[in-house]
Amino acid sequence: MKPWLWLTLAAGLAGPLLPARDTTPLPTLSEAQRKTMATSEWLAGDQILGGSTDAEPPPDLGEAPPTADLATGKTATLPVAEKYLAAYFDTRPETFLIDPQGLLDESSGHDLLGLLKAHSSDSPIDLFIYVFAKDQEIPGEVRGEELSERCFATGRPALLVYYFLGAPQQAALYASPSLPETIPATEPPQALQSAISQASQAANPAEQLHSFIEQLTKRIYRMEQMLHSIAEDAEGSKRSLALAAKLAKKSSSLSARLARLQPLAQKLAIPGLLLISGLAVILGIAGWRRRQATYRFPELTVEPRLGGEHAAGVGALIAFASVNLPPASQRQQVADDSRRT
Amino acid sequence: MRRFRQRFPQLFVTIYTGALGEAAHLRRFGLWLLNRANFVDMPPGSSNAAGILLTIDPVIKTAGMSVGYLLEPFLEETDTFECLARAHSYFLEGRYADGMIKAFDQLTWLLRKRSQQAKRHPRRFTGHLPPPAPQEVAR
Repeated sequence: MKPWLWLTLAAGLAGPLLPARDTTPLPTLSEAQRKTMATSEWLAGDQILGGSTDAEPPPDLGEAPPTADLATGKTATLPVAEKYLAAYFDTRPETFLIDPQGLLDESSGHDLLGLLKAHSSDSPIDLFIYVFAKDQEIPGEVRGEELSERCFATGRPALLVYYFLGAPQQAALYASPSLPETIPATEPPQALQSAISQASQAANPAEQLHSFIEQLTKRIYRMEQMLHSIAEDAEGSKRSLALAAKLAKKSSSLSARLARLQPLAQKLAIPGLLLISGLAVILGIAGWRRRQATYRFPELTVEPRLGGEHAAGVGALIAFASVNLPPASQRQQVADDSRRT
Repeated sequence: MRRFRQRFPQLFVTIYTGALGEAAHLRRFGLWLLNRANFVDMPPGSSNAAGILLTIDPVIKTAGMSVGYLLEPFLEETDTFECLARAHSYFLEGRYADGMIKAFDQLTWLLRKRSQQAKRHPRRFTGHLPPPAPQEVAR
């Protein structure tokens, strides 16, 4: 027997055995009631219950809104006006904050320029900020790398930043060719990311730019520290190499000299030893004789004084009462009666 | 002291330590002792004129060095002061034995030097001789 036939038979047998359910019947509306409700008010479940299926078309909202570029997060952009291009990109800027469009108000621009000048006076690496509007686009013919090579090949090392006011995440950083190669290549991008994240925490665009510059200057300072340590390491290794070379040269010259002197030393070893032994013996004998020597004084006649048969009390007297005074200060002068004439 | 006696057979050193009180001055006591004392452990025939006396009074904290007539032409008072000065720092600390050794080391060095000088230049020390007696001059 086929399976579907078994299933049909089982359902037919089980149907009467199942308990009956309490089911609420759906409301039924007459045609007149339906029309009344449809015109007066909204009818719940109208479309489900087989009512009118005439759906109104969606309202016309005009043109489609500007869509964001999902890949870059940029909205529709306008290129920088041609009249500003020369001020931006023709020559090496004379000021650290390049804002020919006047996007920053005067006080903010002044503050930020002061910050950049202070950084420049403290650091060997200059920082140039090119300010653009958020929705602006740099023309394709202007490339940051080309600008840094053309305008910043000479002079002090510098970092260039294209900063879009109100959109710090769009900022781009370029290093001048004169920036020391000893700085790791990963350091400038990391500095940029750090500055962007710092700027993102600020509220308004001017504050964002201020935070951005502050953080970037800190990271530049860190780069300088790295440069110093690298230079010191290089100097130290250079010195140690020079010292090692010098020592090696010395030791080689010393060993060469020793090799030259070896035959002579072998010739002179025995006579030298004999000479040294003889000298030691002579010195020993002299020392022994000196220790054994006796010393005599001629007996000169001295006039007796003070009735003394053997002595007249000649000699020094010294006090040792004070620790602070030297012996000469504590010497007691000889009495006149015992002084020899 | 024994070594000293071996090196300088004519001389001897003697030490007196004790409080003299107010009755006597240290210098006069040295004069008296060197003239009057009878040193029993001296070889027969030795004279007190060859003696060197070191006197130390630890109460009044004073030390003196007196010499007999034998050494008078060869030792100045400055020489005896040098010997005492060598011992001064030890006496200040109450280390009298160490001070005595230092003083006698200096004295030994000085006497050896003077002995050699007297041997090489005997006339140098004639200035220390007393003036000749008037009858000798007349003769």
